[in-house]
Amino acid sequence: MHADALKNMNNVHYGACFSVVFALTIVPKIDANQTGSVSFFMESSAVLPYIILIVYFFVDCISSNVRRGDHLSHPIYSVGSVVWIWILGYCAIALKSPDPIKYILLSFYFLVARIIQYNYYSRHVFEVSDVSRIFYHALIVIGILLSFVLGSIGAYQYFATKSASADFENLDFAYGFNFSISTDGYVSIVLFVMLILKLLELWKICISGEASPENGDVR
Amino acid sequence: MNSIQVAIIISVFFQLSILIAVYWWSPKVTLQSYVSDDRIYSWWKIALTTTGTIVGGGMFIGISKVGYEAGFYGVLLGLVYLVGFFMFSSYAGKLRNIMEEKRCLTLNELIEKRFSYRVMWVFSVTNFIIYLCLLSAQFLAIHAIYKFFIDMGVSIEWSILPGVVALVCMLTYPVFGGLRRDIVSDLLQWIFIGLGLIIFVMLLIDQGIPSDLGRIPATHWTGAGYGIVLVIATVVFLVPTFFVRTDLWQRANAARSEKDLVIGLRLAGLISFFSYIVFTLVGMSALANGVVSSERASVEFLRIALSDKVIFGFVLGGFVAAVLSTADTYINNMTIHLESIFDKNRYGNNIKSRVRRLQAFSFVLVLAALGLALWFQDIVDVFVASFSLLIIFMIPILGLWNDNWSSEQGAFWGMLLGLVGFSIGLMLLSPKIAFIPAVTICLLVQLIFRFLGRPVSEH
Repeated sequence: MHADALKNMNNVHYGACFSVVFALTIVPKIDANQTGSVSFFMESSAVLPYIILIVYFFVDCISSNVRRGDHLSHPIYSVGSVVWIWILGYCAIALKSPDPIKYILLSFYFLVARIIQYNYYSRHVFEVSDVSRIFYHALIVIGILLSFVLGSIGAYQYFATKSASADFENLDFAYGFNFSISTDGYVSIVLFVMLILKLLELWKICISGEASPENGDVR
Repeated sequence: MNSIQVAIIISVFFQLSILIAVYWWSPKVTLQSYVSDDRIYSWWKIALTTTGTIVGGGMFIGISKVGYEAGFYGVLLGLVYLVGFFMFSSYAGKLRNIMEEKRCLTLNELIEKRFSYRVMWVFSVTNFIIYLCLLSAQFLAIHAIYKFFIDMGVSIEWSILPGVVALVCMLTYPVFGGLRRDIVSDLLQWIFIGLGLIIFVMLLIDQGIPSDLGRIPATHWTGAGYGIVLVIATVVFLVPTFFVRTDLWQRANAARSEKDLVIGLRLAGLISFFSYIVFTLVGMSALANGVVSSERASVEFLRIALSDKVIFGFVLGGFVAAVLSTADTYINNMTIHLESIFDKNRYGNNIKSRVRRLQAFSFVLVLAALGLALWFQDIVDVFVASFSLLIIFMIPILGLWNDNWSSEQGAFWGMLLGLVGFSIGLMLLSPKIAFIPAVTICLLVQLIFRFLGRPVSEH
């Protein structure tokens, strides 16, 4: 199948996935006193991480569209990209859950996403001699660090629910900081940096000429 | 005969069976098979031999200690290994092709051809130090088991037996057989390592979450037990070192095809990651259960969780097999580096006499590493210091492929001064952060020569 057709198929999945995420996360609230008045609210305190993840979802959709996409003709990549869209959607839905496993799940999502991205560029785009690949080295390195932080927050909370005796009160202390931020605050910071990395990737795709349809050679 | 003696006998039986099996399979040792081997290994062999190098005695003792002292920092190390293997595998096919084009058996030869003898010399000296220290750390791991037996009231002759047999194994097949026997033995050793690993996992599941998690400090859950600086430095600097590890280059060169190599390395990354998680949790579990010595976190964990001494024998066998599977690779690498240091005209030598010389070097080095182990105190410090020393190669290695960065003077002075900076850092700072001055100096020198010097022309 042609790369454009595969991209269109991906877009359909992005749309469907977002609809499901939206439907399952945002609950309509009908005011009985005011006829025809419907407002939406989210049944979770983790609103900020959710919003950041939704923005990330859209940036992911844009970057998958501007990327050249030749690799999608390979069955593993094409099926993988669809599965990947739905996993991200599931992560967004999971943010509603009080179970700290959601952070570990997100952590694995970001880690594997970075590995897949690095693999794509190193195998299909860059030669060993390209210094530009350092940019993707940097992305993956920061990605590991952030994934680890996200995963460790999840583990920290998970064990906190299992033990009444441990000192799980102060995450700031554990990170060696002196200011007080909630767990959702830490998660928001991590997700925000992940979003920045994604935007950087998009910017890199655009300036490298990969987004240009007439450009056959990415390098 | 008491139950601990039964365990020791099982362990010794494992080691001797490996030794006999490797000798039974006895193709002729050639220079190629000793230092690099032919491209004959399928993906699962590459996966097991590579993991065998990673999951050594250091893993059983060292990572449990890390889990005990710094908690999830051990998982971070596993994460770095996972990503490092994936990164290396992404380029490994291209790196293999370069080795083939340049007709090089080892990374040392590639560096010598691209830069000069003196650059390769510094590279070999530094690598030699690294692998010597890492081999000594394997002896430290055996020593931890020995002390454990003594504390349990086992007589000295029984306590010393697994260590002596391990030493005998080290002095035979890796010394005389080179890389090919190293890889074949790794495949056999993995049967026992895998058994040991499964038993650890079953014990962890069986124990469940320890009741007193209050003993584990909050910093352990975030991996910041050794400080945030080390967490960041580990991720930033350890990941690229996969591109400069000669043991990985050997395996990249020995794979049957690029596909086998990529699958093998990725599988190795996943198994290593899993092993790091297991042994980190073992260390943390030991801490939560009130074990007082971090050095013996894993063996004390076993003592608490395991009453059946026959199964203990299987774990012990897995542990010693892990020590051997790592040690044989280090012995082989160390020997190649030592030959590069002392024998400038080695290419002109008779091949048979060159192999004999390698074997002689190898034999002496095992004994030297044993001596050095008596001097070292902390297995984690040895590992951290050794692996962080690899960082000083990163930028010179970049010059292997990119003409703009391939300054011969930059590579030589960068690595040499980096090595000096590391030595000073080791004396003045903690072994865990001694790489900081080394990397800074190396980077500065490289940048100076990058912008002022001229790229090297290939030899």
